[in-house]
Amino acid sequence: MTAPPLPPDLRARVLTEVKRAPSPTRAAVRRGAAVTVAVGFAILALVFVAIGGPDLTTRPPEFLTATLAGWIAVALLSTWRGFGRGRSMLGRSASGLVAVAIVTGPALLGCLLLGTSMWPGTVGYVATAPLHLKCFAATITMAIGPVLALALVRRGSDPVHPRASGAALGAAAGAWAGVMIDLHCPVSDTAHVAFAHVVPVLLLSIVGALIGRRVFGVLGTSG
Amino acid sequence: MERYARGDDRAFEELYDELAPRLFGYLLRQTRERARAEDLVQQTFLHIHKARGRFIAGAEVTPWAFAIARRLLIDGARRGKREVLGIDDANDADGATASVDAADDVAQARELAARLRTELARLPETQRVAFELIKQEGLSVAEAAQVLGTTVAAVKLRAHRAYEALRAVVGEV
Repeated sequence: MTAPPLPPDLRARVLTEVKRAPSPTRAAVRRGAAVTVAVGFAILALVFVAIGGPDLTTRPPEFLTATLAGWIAVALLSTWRGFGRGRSMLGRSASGLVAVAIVTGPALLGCLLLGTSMWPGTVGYVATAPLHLKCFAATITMAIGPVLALALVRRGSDPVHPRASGAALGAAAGAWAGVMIDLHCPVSDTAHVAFAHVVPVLLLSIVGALIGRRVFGVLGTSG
Repeated sequence: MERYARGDDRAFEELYDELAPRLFGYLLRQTRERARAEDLVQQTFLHIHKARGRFIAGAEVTPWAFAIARRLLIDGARRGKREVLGIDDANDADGATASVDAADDVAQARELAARLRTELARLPETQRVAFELIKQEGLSVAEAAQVLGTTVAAVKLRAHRAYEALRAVVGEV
Protein backbone atom coordinates (compact mmCIF):
# COMPACT_ATOMS: atom_id res chain seq x y z
CA MET A 1 0.00 0.00 0.00
CA THR A 2 1.44 3.38 -0.96
CA ALA A 3 0.96 6.10 1.60
CA PRO A 4 -0.69 9.28 0.35
CA PRO A 5 1.60 12.33 0.51
CA LEU A 6 1.45 14.38 3.67
CA PRO A 7 0.18 17.94 3.32
CA PRO A 8 3.31 20.12 3.37
CA ASP A 9 1.95 22.61 5.90
CA LEU A 10 0.71 20.02 8.40
CA ARG A 11 4.12 19.56 10.02
CA ALA A 12 4.47 23.31 10.64
CA ARG A 13 0.93 23.47 12.04
CA VAL A 14 1.52 20.61 14.45
CA LEU A 15 4.86 22.00 15.61
CA THR A 16 3.33 25.44 16.13
CA GLU A 17 0.52 23.98 18.25
CA VAL A 18 2.98 21.95 20.28
CA LYS A 19 5.16 25.00 20.97
CA ARG A 20 2.09 27.00 21.94
CA ALA A 21 1.08 24.51 24.66
CA PRO A 22 4.17 23.16 26.46
CA SER A 23 3.72 19.83 28.23
CA PRO A 24 5.49 18.60 31.36
CA THR A 25 8.37 16.16 31.09
CA ARG A 26 8.37 12.77 32.78
CA ALA A 27 10.17 14.05 35.86
CA ALA A 28 7.60 16.82 36.37
CA VAL A 29 4.69 14.43 35.81
CA ARG A 30 6.12 11.99 38.37
CA ARG A 31 6.48 14.74 40.96
CA GLY A 32 2.93 15.92 40.29
CA ALA A 33 1.55 12.37 40.47
CA ALA A 34 3.34 11.70 43.76
CA VAL A 35 1.90 14.87 45.29
CA THR A 36 -1.60 14.12 43.96
CA VAL A 37 -1.60 10.56 45.28
CA ALA A 38 -0.21 11.73 48.63
CA VAL A 39 -2.97 14.35 48.93
CA GLY A 40 -5.61 11.79 47.96
CA PHE A 41 -4.50 9.35 50.62
CA ALA A 42 -4.10 12.16 53.16
CA ILE A 43 -7.80 12.93 52.59
CA LEU A 44 -8.55 9.25 53.23
CA ALA A 45 -6.52 9.41 56.47
CA LEU A 46 -8.31 12.60 57.58
CA VAL A 47 -11.74 11.03 57.03
CA PHE A 48 -10.54 7.94 58.87
CA VAL A 49 -9.51 10.01 61.88
CA ALA A 50 -12.76 11.99 61.69
CA ILE A 51 -14.90 8.84 61.95
CA GLY A 52 -12.99 7.70 65.03
CA GLY A 53 -9.79 6.08 63.80
CA PRO A 54 -8.84 2.47 64.41
CA ASP A 55 -10.50 0.05 66.82
CA LEU A 56 -7.63 -2.12 68.00
CA THR A 57 -9.08 -3.55 71.19
CA THR A 58 -12.46 -5.16 70.44
CA ARG A 59 -11.14 -7.95 68.18
CA PRO A 60 -8.38 -10.47 68.95
CA PRO A 61 -5.07 -8.99 67.75
CA GLU A 62 -4.24 -12.11 65.68
CA PHE A 63 -7.59 -11.92 63.89
CA LEU A 64 -7.23 -8.19 63.28
CA THR A 65 -3.68 -8.61 62.00
CA ALA A 66 -4.59 -11.51 59.70
CA THR A 67 -7.67 -9.89 58.14
CA LEU A 68 -5.94 -6.53 57.81
CA ALA A 69 -2.95 -8.17 56.10
CA GLY A 70 -5.35 -9.87 53.69
CA TRP A 71 -7.20 -6.65 52.89
CA ILE A 72 -3.94 -4.74 52.40
CA ALA A 73 -2.67 -7.49 50.09
CA VAL A 74 -5.87 -7.30 48.03
CA ALA A 75 -5.66 -3.49 47.89
CA LEU A 76 -2.01 -3.64 46.79
CA LEU A 77 -2.76 -6.24 44.12
CA SER A 78 -5.76 -4.37 42.75
CA THR A 79 -3.77 -1.11 42.68
CA TRP A 80 -0.87 -2.80 40.91
CA ARG A 81 -3.10 -4.54 38.34
CA GLY A 82 -5.65 -1.73 38.01
CA PHE A 83 -3.52 1.40 38.19
CA GLY A 84 -0.22 0.17 36.78
CA ARG A 85 0.12 -0.03 33.01
CA GLY A 86 2.87 -2.60 32.81
CA ARG A 87 5.27 -1.96 29.92
CA SER A 88 2.65 -0.64 27.51
CA MET A 89 1.21 2.83 27.00
CA LEU A 90 -2.09 1.11 26.31
CA GLY A 91 -2.22 -0.46 29.74
CA ARG A 92 -3.27 -3.91 30.70
CA SER A 93 -5.85 -5.94 28.82
CA ALA A 94 -9.53 -5.14 29.20
CA SER A 95 -10.19 -8.60 30.59
CA GLY A 96 -7.47 -8.12 33.22
CA LEU A 97 -8.92 -4.76 34.27
CA VAL A 98 -12.46 -6.11 34.43
CA ALA A 99 -11.17 -9.01 36.51
CA VAL A 100 -9.70 -6.51 39.00
CA ALA A 101 -13.05 -4.73 39.18
CA ILE A 102 -15.01 -7.93 39.72
CA VAL A 103 -12.62 -9.88 41.95
CA THR A 104 -11.49 -7.16 44.38
CA GLY A 105 -14.70 -7.03 46.41
CA PRO A 106 -15.18 -10.79 46.75
CA ALA A 107 -11.48 -11.20 47.56
CA LEU A 108 -11.83 -8.71 50.44
CA LEU A 109 -14.85 -10.61 51.72
CA GLY A 110 -12.94 -13.87 51.31
CA CYS A 111 -10.20 -12.57 53.61
CA LEU A 112 -12.78 -11.83 56.26
CA LEU A 113 -14.46 -15.23 55.88
CA LEU A 114 -11.08 -16.91 56.18
CA GLY A 115 -10.41 -14.93 59.35
CA THR A 116 -13.79 -15.67 60.92
CA SER A 117 -13.41 -19.37 60.11
CA MET A 118 -10.10 -19.38 61.98
CA TRP A 119 -11.41 -17.27 64.89
CA PRO A 120 -15.12 -18.28 65.15
CA GLY A 121 -15.72 -16.17 68.27
CA THR A 122 -15.39 -12.95 66.28
CA VAL A 123 -18.77 -13.18 64.51
CA GLY A 124 -20.97 -12.89 67.60
CA TYR A 125 -22.05 -9.26 67.17
CA VAL A 126 -24.66 -8.58 64.50
CA ALA A 127 -24.83 -4.97 63.30
CA THR A 128 -27.99 -2.90 63.07
CA ALA A 129 -29.23 -1.03 60.01
CA PRO A 130 -27.86 2.36 61.18
CA LEU A 131 -24.41 0.82 61.61
CA HIS A 132 -24.66 -0.73 58.14
CA LEU A 133 -25.43 2.67 56.69
CA LYS A 134 -22.75 4.44 58.76
CA CYS A 135 -20.02 2.06 57.55
CA PHE A 136 -21.35 2.16 53.99
CA ALA A 137 -21.20 5.96 53.96
CA ALA A 138 -17.79 5.99 55.69
CA THR A 139 -16.30 3.60 53.12
CA ILE A 140 -17.58 5.68 50.22
CA THR A 141 -16.38 8.92 51.83
CA MET A 142 -12.92 7.54 52.54
CA ALA A 143 -12.64 6.36 48.94
CA ILE A 144 -13.22 9.85 47.53
CA GLY A 145 -9.63 11.01 48.07
CA PRO A 146 -7.96 8.00 46.41
CA VAL A 147 -10.55 7.95 43.62
CA LEU A 148 -9.91 11.59 42.76
CA ALA A 149 -6.14 11.17 43.04
CA LEU A 150 -5.99 8.10 40.81
CA ALA A 151 -8.41 9.68 38.34
CA LEU A 152 -6.34 12.86 38.14
CA VAL A 153 -3.11 10.96 37.59
CA ARG A 154 -4.60 8.73 34.87
CA ARG A 155 -7.08 11.11 33.23
CA GLY A 156 -7.19 11.08 29.44
CA SER A 157 -4.63 8.30 29.23
CA ASP A 158 -6.57 5.30 27.94
CA PRO A 159 -7.46 5.26 24.24
CA VAL A 160 -8.45 1.59 24.19
CA HIS A 161 -10.58 0.56 27.18
CA PRO A 162 -11.25 3.57 29.44
CA ARG A 163 -14.37 2.06 30.99
CA ALA A 164 -12.45 -1.02 32.12
CA SER A 165 -9.71 1.25 33.48
CA GLY A 166 -12.29 3.29 35.36
CA ALA A 167 -13.83 0.16 36.86
CA ALA A 168 -10.44 -1.18 37.97
CA LEU A 169 -9.36 2.16 39.46
CA GLY A 170 -12.68 2.43 41.29
CA ALA A 171 -12.10 -1.01 42.78
CA ALA A 172 -8.52 -0.17 43.76
CA ALA A 173 -9.53 3.08 45.48
CA GLY A 174 -12.44 1.30 47.15
CA ALA A 175 -10.13 -1.44 48.40
CA TRP A 176 -7.99 1.12 50.25
CA ALA A 177 -11.12 2.59 51.82
CA GLY A 178 -12.05 -1.00 52.69
CA VAL A 179 -8.74 -1.49 54.47
CA MET A 180 -9.42 1.56 56.62
CA ILE A 181 -13.02 0.61 57.42
CA ASP A 182 -11.79 -2.85 58.38
CA LEU A 183 -9.38 -1.19 60.77
CA HIS A 184 -12.13 1.03 62.17
CA CYS A 185 -15.18 -1.25 62.40
CA PRO A 186 -15.02 -4.17 64.85
CA VAL A 187 -18.07 -5.92 63.42
CA SER A 188 -17.14 -9.14 61.62
CA ASP A 189 -20.64 -10.27 60.76
CA THR A 190 -20.56 -11.43 57.12
CA ALA A 191 -23.74 -9.62 56.08
CA HIS A 192 -22.50 -6.33 57.56
CA VAL A 193 -19.06 -6.58 55.97
CA ALA A 194 -20.56 -7.61 52.64
CA PHE A 195 -23.04 -4.73 52.53
CA ALA A 196 -21.22 -1.93 54.33
CA HIS A 197 -17.54 -2.67 53.53
CA VAL A 198 -17.54 -4.57 50.23
CA VAL A 199 -20.59 -3.36 48.28
CA PRO A 200 -19.12 0.20 48.22
CA VAL A 201 -16.07 -1.24 46.45
CA LEU A 202 -18.30 -2.77 43.77
CA LEU A 203 -20.29 0.45 43.58
CA LEU A 204 -17.11 2.46 43.00
CA SER A 205 -16.19 0.04 40.21
CA ILE A 206 -19.54 0.63 38.55
CA VAL A 207 -19.18 4.40 38.89
CA GLY A 208 -15.66 4.13 37.49
CA ALA A 209 -16.97 2.21 34.49
CA LEU A 210 -19.75 4.73 33.93
CA ILE A 211 -17.49 7.78 33.98
CA GLY A 212 -14.48 5.97 32.52
CA ARG A 213 -14.83 7.09 28.92
CA ARG A 214 -15.12 10.76 29.83
CA VAL A 215 -12.41 10.74 32.52
CA PHE A 216 -9.86 8.24 31.28
CA GLY A 217 -10.65 8.16 27.59
CA VAL A 218 -8.91 10.08 24.82
CA LEU A 219 -11.38 12.65 23.56
CA GLY A 220 -11.10 14.88 20.53
CA THR A 221 -11.20 18.65 20.64
CA SER A 222 -13.43 19.12 17.65
CA GLY A 223 -16.29 17.26 16.07
CA MET B 1 9.70 9.25 22.24
CA GLU B 2 11.89 8.30 25.17
CA ARG B 3 14.09 11.34 24.49
CA TYR B 4 11.03 13.55 24.21
CA ALA B 5 9.63 12.23 27.50
CA ARG B 6 12.91 13.12 29.18
CA GLY B 7 12.71 16.69 27.90
CA ASP B 8 14.47 16.75 24.52
CA ASP B 9 12.00 18.94 22.59
CA ARG B 10 13.74 18.41 19.24
CA ALA B 11 12.90 14.70 19.39
CA PHE B 12 9.27 15.54 18.66
CA GLU B 13 10.09 16.50 15.08
CA GLU B 14 11.72 13.11 14.50
CA LEU B 15 8.71 11.44 16.02
CA TYR B 16 6.44 13.38 13.70
CA ASP B 17 8.49 12.51 10.63
CA GLU B 18 8.41 8.83 11.50
CA LEU B 19 4.76 8.48 12.47
CA ALA B 20 2.83 11.14 10.58
CA PRO B 21 2.85 9.52 7.10
CA ARG B 22 1.48 6.23 8.45
CA LEU B 23 -1.11 7.93 10.63
CA PHE B 24 -2.20 10.21 7.81
CA GLY B 25 -2.52 7.29 5.42
CA TYR B 26 -4.59 5.35 7.94
CA LEU B 27 -6.84 8.28 8.79
CA LEU B 28 -7.31 9.27 5.15
CA ARG B 29 -8.35 5.73 4.27
CA GLN B 30 -10.83 5.75 7.14
CA THR B 31 -12.32 9.21 6.64
CA ARG B 32 -11.85 9.80 2.89
CA GLU B 33 -11.62 13.49 3.79
CA ARG B 34 -8.22 15.13 3.60
CA ALA B 35 -9.15 17.99 5.91
CA ARG B 36 -10.60 15.61 8.48
CA ALA B 37 -7.57 13.32 8.29
CA GLU B 38 -5.23 16.30 8.73
CA ASP B 39 -7.21 17.48 11.74
CA LEU B 40 -7.05 14.02 13.31
CA VAL B 41 -3.30 13.72 12.70
CA GLN B 42 -2.85 17.09 14.40
CA GLN B 43 -5.02 16.05 17.35
CA THR B 44 -3.18 12.73 17.66
CA PHE B 45 0.19 14.46 17.87
CA LEU B 46 -1.14 16.98 20.37
CA HIS B 47 -2.29 14.08 22.56
CA ILE B 48 1.11 12.44 22.25
CA HIS B 49 2.72 15.75 23.13
CA LYS B 50 0.50 16.28 26.18
CA ALA B 51 1.10 12.72 27.38
CA ARG B 52 4.87 12.76 26.96
CA GLY B 53 5.47 12.95 30.71
CA ARG B 54 3.47 9.75 31.17
CA PHE B 55 5.39 7.82 28.56
CA ILE B 56 6.63 4.52 29.95
CA ALA B 57 10.30 3.90 29.23
CA GLY B 58 10.64 1.13 26.66
CA ALA B 59 6.96 1.18 25.64
CA GLU B 60 6.04 0.89 21.97
CA VAL B 61 4.99 4.17 20.36
CA THR B 62 3.34 3.01 17.12
CA PRO B 63 0.42 1.03 18.61
CA TRP B 64 -0.17 3.81 21.11
CA ALA B 65 -0.27 6.46 18.37
CA PHE B 66 -2.61 4.35 16.23
CA ALA B 67 -4.86 3.68 19.23
CA ILE B 68 -5.10 7.43 19.93
CA ALA B 69 -5.82 8.15 16.26
CA ARG B 70 -8.46 5.43 16.12
CA ARG B 71 -10.11 6.66 19.32
CA LEU B 72 -10.18 10.25 18.06
CA LEU B 73 -11.64 9.03 14.78
CA ILE B 74 -14.41 7.09 16.54
CA ASP B 75 -15.04 9.91 18.99
CA GLY B 76 -15.28 12.43 16.17
CA ALA B 77 -17.61 10.16 14.22
CA ARG B 78 -19.83 9.74 17.27
CA ARG B 79 -19.99 13.44 17.98
CA GLY B 80 -20.32 14.59 14.41
CA LYS B 81 -22.24 11.51 13.26
CA ARG B 82 -19.71 11.18 10.49
CA GLU B 83 -19.52 7.95 8.61
CA VAL B 84 -16.30 6.09 9.37
CA LEU B 85 -15.40 4.08 6.37
CA GLY B 86 -12.88 1.37 5.94
CA ILE B 87 -12.78 1.65 2.23
CA ASP B 88 -9.51 2.41 0.58
CA ASP B 89 -10.43 5.10 -1.86
CA ALA B 90 -7.55 7.32 -0.87
CA ASN B 91 -5.12 5.24 -2.79
CA ASP B 92 -7.41 5.19 -5.78
CA ALA B 93 -7.45 8.96 -5.75
CA ASP B 94 -3.69 8.93 -5.85
CA GLY B 95 -3.61 6.59 -8.76
CA ALA B 96 -2.36 3.57 -6.90
CA THR B 97 -3.95 1.21 -9.37
CA ALA B 98 -1.72 2.49 -12.14
CA SER B 99 0.93 0.41 -13.85
CA VAL B 100 -1.58 -1.85 -15.59
CA ASP B 101 -1.13 -1.26 -19.28
CA ALA B 102 -3.84 -3.04 -21.21
CA ALA B 103 -7.28 -1.48 -21.07
CA ASP B 104 -8.91 -4.86 -20.36
CA ASP B 105 -6.53 -5.48 -17.51
CA VAL B 106 -7.26 -2.04 -16.11
CA ALA B 107 -10.98 -2.66 -16.28
CA GLN B 108 -10.59 -6.07 -14.67
CA ALA B 109 -8.35 -4.70 -11.95
CA ARG B 110 -10.82 -1.92 -11.26
CA GLU B 111 -13.66 -4.39 -11.04
CA LEU B 112 -11.66 -6.58 -8.68
CA ALA B 113 -10.67 -3.59 -6.54
CA ALA B 114 -14.29 -2.46 -6.38
CA ARG B 115 -15.46 -5.91 -5.34
CA LEU B 116 -12.73 -6.15 -2.73
CA ARG B 117 -13.70 -2.75 -1.34
CA THR B 118 -17.33 -3.79 -1.22
CA GLU B 119 -16.47 -7.05 0.49
CA LEU B 120 -14.14 -5.28 2.93
CA ALA B 121 -16.89 -2.82 3.81
CA ARG B 122 -19.33 -5.69 4.33
CA LEU B 123 -17.07 -7.47 6.80
CA PRO B 124 -17.82 -7.20 10.52
CA GLU B 125 -16.06 -4.14 11.95
CA THR B 126 -13.77 -6.23 14.16
CA GLN B 127 -12.51 -8.25 11.19
CA ARG B 128 -12.19 -5.26 8.88
CA VAL B 129 -10.21 -3.16 11.35
CA ALA B 130 -7.88 -6.04 12.23
CA PHE B 131 -7.25 -6.66 8.52
CA GLU B 132 -6.65 -2.97 7.79
CA LEU B 133 -4.23 -2.44 10.63
CA ILE B 134 -2.13 -5.45 9.67
CA LYS B 135 -2.34 -5.51 5.88
CA GLN B 136 -2.78 -1.83 5.08
CA GLU B 137 -1.05 -0.01 7.91
CA GLY B 138 1.74 -2.52 8.35
CA LEU B 139 1.31 -3.09 12.06
CA SER B 140 2.39 -6.40 13.51
CA VAL B 141 -0.29 -8.70 14.90
CA ALA B 142 0.87 -7.88 18.42
CA GLU B 143 0.70 -4.13 17.72
CA ALA B 144 -2.77 -4.44 16.19
CA ALA B 145 -3.89 -6.39 19.26
CA GLN B 146 -2.69 -3.55 21.48
CA VAL B 147 -4.45 -0.93 19.37
CA LEU B 148 -7.70 -2.88 19.51
CA GLY B 149 -7.33 -3.81 23.17
CA THR B 150 -7.62 -7.52 22.54
CA THR B 151 -5.46 -10.62 22.36
CA VAL B 152 -3.02 -11.62 19.63
CA ALA B 153 -5.01 -14.80 18.99
CA ALA B 154 -8.24 -12.83 18.53
CA VAL B 155 -6.61 -10.43 16.06
CA LYS B 156 -5.06 -13.31 14.13
CA LEU B 157 -8.45 -14.97 13.85
CA ARG B 158 -10.21 -11.77 12.79
CA ALA B 159 -7.59 -10.90 10.18
CA HIS B 160 -7.60 -14.47 8.89
CA ARG B 161 -11.37 -14.48 8.48
CA ALA B 162 -11.20 -11.16 6.65
CA TYR B 163 -8.41 -12.50 4.46
CA GLU B 164 -10.41 -15.62 3.64
CA ALA B 165 -13.48 -13.56 2.73
CA LEU B 166 -11.44 -11.35 0.42
CA ARG B 167 -9.68 -14.34 -1.09
CA ALA B 168 -13.03 -15.86 -1.93
CA VAL B 169 -13.90 -12.70 -3.86
CA VAL B 170 -10.61 -12.90 -5.78
CA GLY B 171 -11.35 -16.56 -6.56
CA GLU B 172 -14.73 -15.68 -8.01
CA VAL B 173 -13.32 -13.13 -10.45
